[in-house]
Amino acid sequence: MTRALNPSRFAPLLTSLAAIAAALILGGIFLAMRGKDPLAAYAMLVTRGLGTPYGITETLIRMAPLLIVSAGLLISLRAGVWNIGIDGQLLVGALFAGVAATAVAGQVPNPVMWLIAALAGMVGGLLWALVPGILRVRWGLNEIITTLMMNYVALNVTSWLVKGPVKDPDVVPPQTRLIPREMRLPDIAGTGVHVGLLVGLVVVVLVAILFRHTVIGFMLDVVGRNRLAAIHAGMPVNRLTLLALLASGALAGLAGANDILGVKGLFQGNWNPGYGFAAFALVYLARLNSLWLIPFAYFLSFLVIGGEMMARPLGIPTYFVEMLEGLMLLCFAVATWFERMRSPFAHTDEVEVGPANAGEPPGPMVGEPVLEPVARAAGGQS
Amino acid sequence: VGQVLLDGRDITNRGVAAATRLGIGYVTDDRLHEGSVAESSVADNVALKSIGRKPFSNGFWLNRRAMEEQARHLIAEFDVKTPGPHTPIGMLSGGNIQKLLLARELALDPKLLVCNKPTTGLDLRTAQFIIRSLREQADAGKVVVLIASELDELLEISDRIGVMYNGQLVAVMPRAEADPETLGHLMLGGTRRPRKAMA
Repeated sequence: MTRALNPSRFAPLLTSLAAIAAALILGGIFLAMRGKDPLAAYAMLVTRGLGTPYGITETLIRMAPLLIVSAGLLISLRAGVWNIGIDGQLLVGALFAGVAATAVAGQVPNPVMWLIAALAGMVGGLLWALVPGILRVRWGLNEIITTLMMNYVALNVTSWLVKGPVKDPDVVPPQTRLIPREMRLPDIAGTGVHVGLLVGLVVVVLVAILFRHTVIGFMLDVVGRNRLAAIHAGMPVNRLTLLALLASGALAGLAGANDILGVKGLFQGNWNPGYGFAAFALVYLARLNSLWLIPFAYFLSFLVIGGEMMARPLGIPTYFVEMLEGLMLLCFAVATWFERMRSPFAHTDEVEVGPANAGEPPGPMVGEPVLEPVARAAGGQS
Repeated sequence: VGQVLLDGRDITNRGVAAATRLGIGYVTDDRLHEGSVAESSVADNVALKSIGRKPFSNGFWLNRRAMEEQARHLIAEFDVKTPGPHTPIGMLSGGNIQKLLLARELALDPKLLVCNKPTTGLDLRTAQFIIRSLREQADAGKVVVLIASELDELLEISDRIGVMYNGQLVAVMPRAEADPETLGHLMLGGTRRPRKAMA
């Protein structure tokens, strides 16, 4: 109720925080049903995840790919394009990066090698997004289906490649050549966190600038909020749609490259980090606002790392954290429903604040009347 | 089949962006779904159709200050009731949205302004205001094409009235020759009776 009295730019965050609180309570009930003490579990989550140097370092390392991936997803969702194919784009990008890095490692200075690998990763992710992009723009195929399907293709194609054409011939398991530890991304001075985190922060800030200060960002927002109005205003809607999908694919690929160069050092056949789902939770909790991704990315990373550190000693499955993420999205959807019932526009006074339909699908197809109830409720009568 | 000519040049199927650049303004009859982005601010909506050009941007970087200034200017000039330029346009009444859409087109100083049923669903005062604004444009030497089915409105301000039937322009006449009966007859597919000539 304070929101109605004092509408501020941080008001939409209350919905997200309420969703997180509700998810934690529901998660606690599940823990209790399994005979665990939820308070003790959450206490351990906090003391290990936030209270130990290991927990904090691992959390910050995990933040990097989440920031990059969710910044990309945010671009596409703001433009009303549902890129469900983050995971596949990330895998292809990671494989490209792993191959490119080992191909030039030792022959060029390390920073050049990192740059080449990062670009290769972006190209890989972009190519994987290009297929659904063209299908969408040329023939109107729903990208929700095609990007999702491309995930399975990516999973199998990369695992085939890594068993054959790009396999390290000197070892038995299916994997690319190992990038020697001294050639991987260096740590930020004085910490155990590699510089990928800085890349993630820069990407998030660039995306914020894109939407706040550039014509392209403005047009992407218009396409996402009201496709018909974008067409009416003479905007190149198809090109913008394709751009949004390609940008999010390229950033997914960059996140893949980040993990190869900073954490893993090689691409393994069975590796699939599944950041895509976490990215959806993140982007919605941040209310499609780029800068808000940073605290939420830290929180979700903390949940994953702290959750692992808590789950093992307490005998809770590590899937518990994934369940929490899912519960958060569910609770968020319910919370935005309540929010809309009260006031559809209360939080859109600031320019960069996410659209009022942040909780529901931006219409992926032309003419889908997503805005209709809102518009009718707000301005139907003269 | 057919051609669209502007100043003798063929501009058939040139697309919205090209038409805007050529100096054609269009006020849609679907102000909520086509004309405006409900969740975006008044300022954003005012800049919507010319966002890629000065003063709203240099083609890449937005000039948010110019967008806001233009919004304030149009709000004052057209007496738009809104809390401010940052209010989402969907919060305004239909009449105030319509005023902004017309103001947005006029600010682009079009050679030709096409208005599609601009007074539908508006209160009488706003409707009168819209109609008067269109007349002023015509008096200032602009070409205004008003598409409407309100015969009183057309008879009040038009110089010439054309009647469409089944996708064909069946008659064009000066206002002096038009009366509701003649127009109604033509609208229902009748031919033009020579009654006026005989009288």
